[in-house]
Amino acid sequence: MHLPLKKNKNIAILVILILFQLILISLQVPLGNEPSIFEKTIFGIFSPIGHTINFLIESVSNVCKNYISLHSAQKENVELRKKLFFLSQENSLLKMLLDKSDEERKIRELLGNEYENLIPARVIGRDASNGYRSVVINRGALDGIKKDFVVLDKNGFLVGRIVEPITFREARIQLITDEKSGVAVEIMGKEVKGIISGDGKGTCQMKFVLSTDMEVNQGDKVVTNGVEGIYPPGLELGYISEVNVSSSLFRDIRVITFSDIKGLDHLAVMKIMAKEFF
Amino acid sequence: MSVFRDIVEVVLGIILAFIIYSLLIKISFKITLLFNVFLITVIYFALKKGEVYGAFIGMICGLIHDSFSIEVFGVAGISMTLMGYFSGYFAKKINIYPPLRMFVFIFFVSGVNLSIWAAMYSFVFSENIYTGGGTIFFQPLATAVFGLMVIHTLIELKVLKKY
Repeated sequence: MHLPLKKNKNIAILVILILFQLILISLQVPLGNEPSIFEKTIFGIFSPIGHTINFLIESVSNVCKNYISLHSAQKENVELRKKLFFLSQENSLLKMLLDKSDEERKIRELLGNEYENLIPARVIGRDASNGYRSVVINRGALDGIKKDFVVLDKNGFLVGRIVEPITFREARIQLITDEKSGVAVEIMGKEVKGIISGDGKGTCQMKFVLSTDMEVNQGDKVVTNGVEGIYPPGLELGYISEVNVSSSLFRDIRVITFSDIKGLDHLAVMKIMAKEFF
Repeated sequence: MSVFRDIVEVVLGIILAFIIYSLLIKISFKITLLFNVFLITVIYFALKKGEVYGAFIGMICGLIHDSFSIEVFGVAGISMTLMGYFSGYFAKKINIYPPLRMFVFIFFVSGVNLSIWAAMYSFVFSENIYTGGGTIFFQPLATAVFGLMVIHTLIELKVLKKY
């Protein structure tokens, strides 16, 4: 008599747990892409563990590196890398500014703040179901990170944007290779505009380019045009790898990102919003 | 006191799984498609504490998996809850402790978990799962080999007792 009761009780618990998760799923419908409080809490609890692991790996690796290489050379190398990192970002932003603004005074004003507008960050985690969709970085609300801040790689190429959840010390980035991402772009030097979104496999597709638009070729550079109000115009994103002509209204254009999405490590978060920048 | 000890053990187990998962991701994110560390944790606790614990820990591990992906929160949670429950249930009904049986058992659980997750993912998103160039199809095999090694080591160390 006891055993069936216990068995039923266990099945009841299983059903409750499944129902609870079904409710969690259905609660996300009105939230859209915003994570629920429950998801934010779990992310907030476990992301510091990833942060700590990253810190430990980095520390151990630094100790080993210092041990096997000459101290002065190592120090110089670190300095140079740091310099190169900022110079790459600065170079990219300078080009962008010069392209888009012809007022010298405005340029000088903006240039003065360049260093302050960048937050260096490191990747500490990747999307559990598809690493081409999102990554987690070791910078959060306490570092001044906010939703929709734009993220560049160490060479100044576009990587993605900050999305929720953002904890005190960690934040998630939606990568441009995510199928759900959308970046307004144009082909450099041509009046061809479209939307870039990922294919979830490491490359991107340029959508909504009319078959009647100006001809596009392999190797053409793709840059942001800022129409969606998130990404500042002029950021280099990738190049066209394939153009398929079909009978449909739009062309099928494949784009390879300049940034090595698979091997992302050092990143730079632009502290300012696109609207403030231009 | 016993309940407190159980909770501490479960928390430490989940944290350890998360640490291994984070280390694997540091090597390459495709490796995490191959070894389902969270599922091994769920099976381990299901064998040790029974189906109800298995279901609870399955839910927690699945939700951790979901919180670290930009997708619907709860999809992996449901598949791991079911697998946690059924692992604990079948472990009581049949002797799965001989190595070959254990291997087949983990292989089966991992395969079913992957199938449920892929089906739910396709249903919710209307798109196929990311296979990592076919890597994910080796998940049951790799998880079974890794899981067998981990669980047998724990049996040898007398951390896990056979029923």
